[in-house]
Amino acid sequence: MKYLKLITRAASIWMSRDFAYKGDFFIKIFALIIADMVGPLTAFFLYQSTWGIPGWSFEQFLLFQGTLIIVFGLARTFTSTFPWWTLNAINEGEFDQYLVKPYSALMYLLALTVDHYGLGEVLVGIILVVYSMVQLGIAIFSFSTLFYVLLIIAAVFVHLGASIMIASMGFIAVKSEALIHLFMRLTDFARYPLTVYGFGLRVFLTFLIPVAVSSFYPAEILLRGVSLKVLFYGFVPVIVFFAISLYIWKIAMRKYTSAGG
Amino acid sequence: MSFQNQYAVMRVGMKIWASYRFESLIHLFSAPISLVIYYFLWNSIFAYMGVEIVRGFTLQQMIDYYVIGMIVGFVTWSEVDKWVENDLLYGRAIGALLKPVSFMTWYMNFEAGINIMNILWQMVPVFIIGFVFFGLGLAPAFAFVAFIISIILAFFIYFGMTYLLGLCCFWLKKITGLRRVRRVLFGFLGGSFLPLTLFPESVQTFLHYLPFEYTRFVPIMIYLDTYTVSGTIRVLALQVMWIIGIYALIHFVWKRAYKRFTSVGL
Repeated sequence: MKYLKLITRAASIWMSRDFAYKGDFFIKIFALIIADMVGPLTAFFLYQSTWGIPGWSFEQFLLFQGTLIIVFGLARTFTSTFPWWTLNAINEGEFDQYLVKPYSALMYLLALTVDHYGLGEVLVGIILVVYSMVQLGIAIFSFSTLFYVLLIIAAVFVHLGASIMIASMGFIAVKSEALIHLFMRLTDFARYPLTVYGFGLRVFLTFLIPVAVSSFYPAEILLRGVSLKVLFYGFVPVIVFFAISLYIWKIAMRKYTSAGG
Repeated sequence: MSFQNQYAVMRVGMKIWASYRFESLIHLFSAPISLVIYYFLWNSIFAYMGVEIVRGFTLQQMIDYYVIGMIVGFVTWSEVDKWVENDLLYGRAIGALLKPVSFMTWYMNFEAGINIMNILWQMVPVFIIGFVFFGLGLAPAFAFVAFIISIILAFFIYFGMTYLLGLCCFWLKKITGLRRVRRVLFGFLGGSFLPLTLFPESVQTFLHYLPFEYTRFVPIMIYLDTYTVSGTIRVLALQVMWIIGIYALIHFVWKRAYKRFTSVGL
């Protein structure tokens, strides 16, 4: 509860800061929406000039992409700023202040770095998903949708776990910004259905770096119904991945020496 | 301005680049990831359709398209809008204006320095990765020379467009939002996600009247040897015309922007 208060307070401060540049504020929201429409537009052109991705009709692929936009939007909101912020604090030797706050350092930083612009993206994604669900004749409220939402939450935890790992690496290696880029590149794999990749990549994207849950598994649940297999592939690797990230964070906290770098 | 001065500024860019060596190394490993994605994507689409050619592309040409596209991306990379924004926002622009070099020239050389390092350390490895793993073919001599000329021209076009966006700062103060959309939109309209030949006819015709395709699509198509000799010369000439047009516009905008300049941060 106290963290919720922290999030709202931090958000209102960021908001008022952004409103100092009103023009930019509105352009930023507009820009994010345009940037998000590039994916679906690319898909549209792709489906116009080819048969598209094997096993996926255009509407199905639109649902896939909408899911991806929701997940990336949520990840931007709750996790993306956190590693940058933490790495910067470590480099400047300013991290100490977060350790003496009456909150857990991790939770405090996460609350502080909420980037509300991502919510605009989430809205775009929801519109796309609902549109394609209506087109495909899938019931909006159903058992599948419940698991769909749960899988999306799981997907956000993958991004959160990766952010925590990258930030933790900052304590151990001091400079790890490049890992953020590497992870962002890896999430690009989620832009297309797992079915286009080879067997090795499928295993890698499901179990080792479970980014497939960002789009493929939730879309599967909606399109082809709940199955134990998909639930297993969707949830179990995420739980393991996130647990590892928390463990690494713990080690990092023990290693912290407070010197800047 | 003498070449020596220009080279000195380029050196600054190179030095900045060098301080991010570790990052560049990671980039080197992460850059081919998108090639892997496109490789699998197009492989599955071609297999699904069971055809040899999609809109004039064979599968190999399609993969070559993305490999070469990545190389063009290294050369045309520009973040000048960010530098300009930061300079103005934090009131540092006066320092840049006092240099015995024009505002734009300084940044252009600075970024040229960064890009030269990118070319040396990333373009060559990507070429090698392309040849070894993705079966990239070597372009015929004429196409290759034209390609090199074309990417250099593309750098100037991309830089000019980004710089124009940066100049918007003088009016809009903060352009974080515009910058965010710039990369995606320039990429999309330039054909880095999907070859422009796969766009609907009407959109393609429309894009011919915009500068974006000359920053990525055209150099790639030159490398893939899809133009005739006269066609190549024609697109190179069009690139030059775009450069003239864009820099004339910059000159025009800069004069007005400079009048608004007050040197305090915004």
